[in-house]
Amino acid sequence: MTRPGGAMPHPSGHEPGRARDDAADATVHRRALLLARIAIVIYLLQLLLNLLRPKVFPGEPALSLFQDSELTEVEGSPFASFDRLLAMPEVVFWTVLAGILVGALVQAYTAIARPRARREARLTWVTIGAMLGPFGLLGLTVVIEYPLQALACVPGTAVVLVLLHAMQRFARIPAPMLLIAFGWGALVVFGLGRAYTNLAFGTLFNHLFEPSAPAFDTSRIVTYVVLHLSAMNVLVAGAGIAVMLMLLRRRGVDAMTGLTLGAAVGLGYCFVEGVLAIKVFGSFGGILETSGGFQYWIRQSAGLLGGMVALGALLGAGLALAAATRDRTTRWARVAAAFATAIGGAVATEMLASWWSRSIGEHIETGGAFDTLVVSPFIWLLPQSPFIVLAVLMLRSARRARAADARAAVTAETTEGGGAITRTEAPFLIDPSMRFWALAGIWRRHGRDPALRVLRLQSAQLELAASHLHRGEDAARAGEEGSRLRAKVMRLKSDVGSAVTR
Amino acid sequence: MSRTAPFRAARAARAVAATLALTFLLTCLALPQAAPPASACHVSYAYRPDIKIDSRGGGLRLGGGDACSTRHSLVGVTVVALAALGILGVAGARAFRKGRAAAGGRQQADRALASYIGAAGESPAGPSGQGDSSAR
Repeated sequence: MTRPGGAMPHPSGHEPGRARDDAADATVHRRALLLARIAIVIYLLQLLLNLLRPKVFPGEPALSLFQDSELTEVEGSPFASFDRLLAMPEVVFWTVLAGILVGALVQAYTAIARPRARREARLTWVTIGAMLGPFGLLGLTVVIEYPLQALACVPGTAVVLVLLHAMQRFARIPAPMLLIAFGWGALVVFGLGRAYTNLAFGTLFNHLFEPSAPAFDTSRIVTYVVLHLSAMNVLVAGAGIAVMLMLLRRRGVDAMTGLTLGAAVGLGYCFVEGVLAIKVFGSFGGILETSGGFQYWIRQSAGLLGGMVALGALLGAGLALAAATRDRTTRWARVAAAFATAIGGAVATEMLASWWSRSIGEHIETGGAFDTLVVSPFIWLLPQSPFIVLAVLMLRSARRARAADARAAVTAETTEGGGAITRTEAPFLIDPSMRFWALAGIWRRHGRDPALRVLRLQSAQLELAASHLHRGEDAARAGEEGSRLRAKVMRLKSDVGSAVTR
Repeated sequence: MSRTAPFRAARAARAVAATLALTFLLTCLALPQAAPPASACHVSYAYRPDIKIDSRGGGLRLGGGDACSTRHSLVGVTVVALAALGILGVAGARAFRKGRAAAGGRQQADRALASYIGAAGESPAGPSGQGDSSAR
C-alpha cells in the first residue's frame, strides 16, 4: 500500500502518470465514438434495406415509416397498437438525420482543425450526443405524452434505483453515473431499439406479405420483429454499459459495478416501455384482452425486477468480468456469453410466455381473477426465472467480494493513521448492520440532522477507504486523491462534532 | 479489489448462463417455424390473440375473450407493494438487531454508541494525530 501524501514526486512532476491517463482517456473516447458510429451505420443500413424493400401496396412511400396504412387506421386494430409501440414520428426521424449530419460535420472539423486533447475530447462527446441524442426523443415524447402513466411508474422505479445504490455496500458508483445509466436505458436503448425495429418491421412485412394468399398470418412476422427488437435493445444497452465501465476504470471495475450499471440501464428501458404499454394496451384493451392496469401490474409491479432489469444486470456483470480479464480470447468469450445470455433471455421472455400461455390457456378462464393474479404473472415470469436466479446469485457473490474489500480497505486506512478513520469507527464502517444500527441510534438520541451528517461522514470515509484499492496503479494520483478525501472527512467530522454537542 | 472469490463463482455462473442462453436462442430461432398465437391476457408483444388478416374481404378476425381487469390487477399491485414494504421492514429490523448484537448487545450498546459518536465527531489536533482517544 502506498502512503498517501508520502509518495515521492517524480522529478518532472506527475507528467508520466498524467500522460498515461490522457492516453487512456483518448482510447476511451475513440472507443465510445466507434460504438456510436457502428450504431449509426446499422441505422443507415436499415434505412437502405427499407428503401429497397419490394412495394406491395399501391402508392407506397419510399420509407415505410411515412406510410399511413389502412391497417393501422382501423379503430382498435392490433396493428394500430403494434404500430404505436414501434412508432417513429416523422419529426423525430428528420431530427435524427439532422443529428447524424451535425455529428459528421463536427467530426470533419475535428479532423481538419486537429484541436488539443481536451478540446478534442469535448468535440467527441458533442459528436456522440448529436448522433445518438435525437433517438432519445422517442422515449422523451412517450413520457411527455402520457404524464399520468409516467407518474404512476415513478414510485416503483425510484425505489429500485435507491436499492441499486444501496446494495453496492462499498465503493459505490457515483449517483450521477447511475442516473446516466438509467437515462441511457430510458432514452437511447428505447429510442434506438425502436428506430431500428420500426424500419425492420416495414422491410420484413413487405418481404413476407403475399397479396395472392387467402389469408396472411401475422404471428410469424411478429416473432421476427420481437427477435429483432430484443437483440437490438440488448446490443445498444451493452454498448452503453461498456462505455460507462471504461469511464469508471480508475475507481476499479468488478462484477458489482457492471451488475448495478446494467440493472439501471434495464430499469430505464422498462420505465419508458411500461409507460407506453400501459397507455397503448390500455387503449386497445377490449381487443387485446388486457387493460392499462393489468400492464402496470405485470410490468411495473410483479415483473419490475425481471425482464431487462435482470438481463441488464447479467449483461453488465458479464461485461465487467470481461473487462477485468487480460487474456484476449477469454475476454471476447465472456463478452459473447454476456450478450448471448441477455439476448436469449429477452427473446425467451417474450416468446416462451406466448407459447406456454397457449398450452394452458385452453384450460383456464381468460381474464378472471385467477388468470390476472396468478396465471399471467406466472407465465410472464417463468421464462425469466433462470435469469433472475442467476442475477441474484451473482449479486450475492459480488456483495461478498465487496464485504471482503471493505474490510481490507478500512483496515488499511485505519493502520495508516491520520485520524480520518479511527479504530473505534472501523468496525462500524466494515459491518453495514452496525452502521445502520448506529445511524438509527443517533437519529433516536440526537435527531435527524446529526444522523444525516453521520451518514454523509460514513459515505466519505468509505470513499476514502475505497481509494486504497487502486493505489498500485498510479501512486501520485492516488496520493492526491487520498489527501483530498481525507480533508473532506475531517471537515465532515467537525460538522458531526458540532451537531452532536449542540 | 480481491477478485478471486467473485471470479470463481462467476465462472460457474458463466457456464450456466452460456448453456441457458444457447438453449433459449436455439429455441427462439426455431419458434418462427411454429409460433402459436396466445389465448390468455396480453403480457408480451408476441402474446397476442388469434388474429388473421383476410385479404379476400374477410377483414380482421380478432380474439374475443375477457380482458384482465384493472380492478383485479390493482389487488395484485397492493399485495406486492405491501409484501415489499414488509420485506424491507423485516430486513431493517434484522439489521438493527444484528448491529446491536455486534456492538456488544443491549448491555454494551449505549456505551458503544456513545464511543462511536465521540470518535465520529472528533477532529484530531494535527495531521499526525490518531484521534483515537476513544479506541477500545
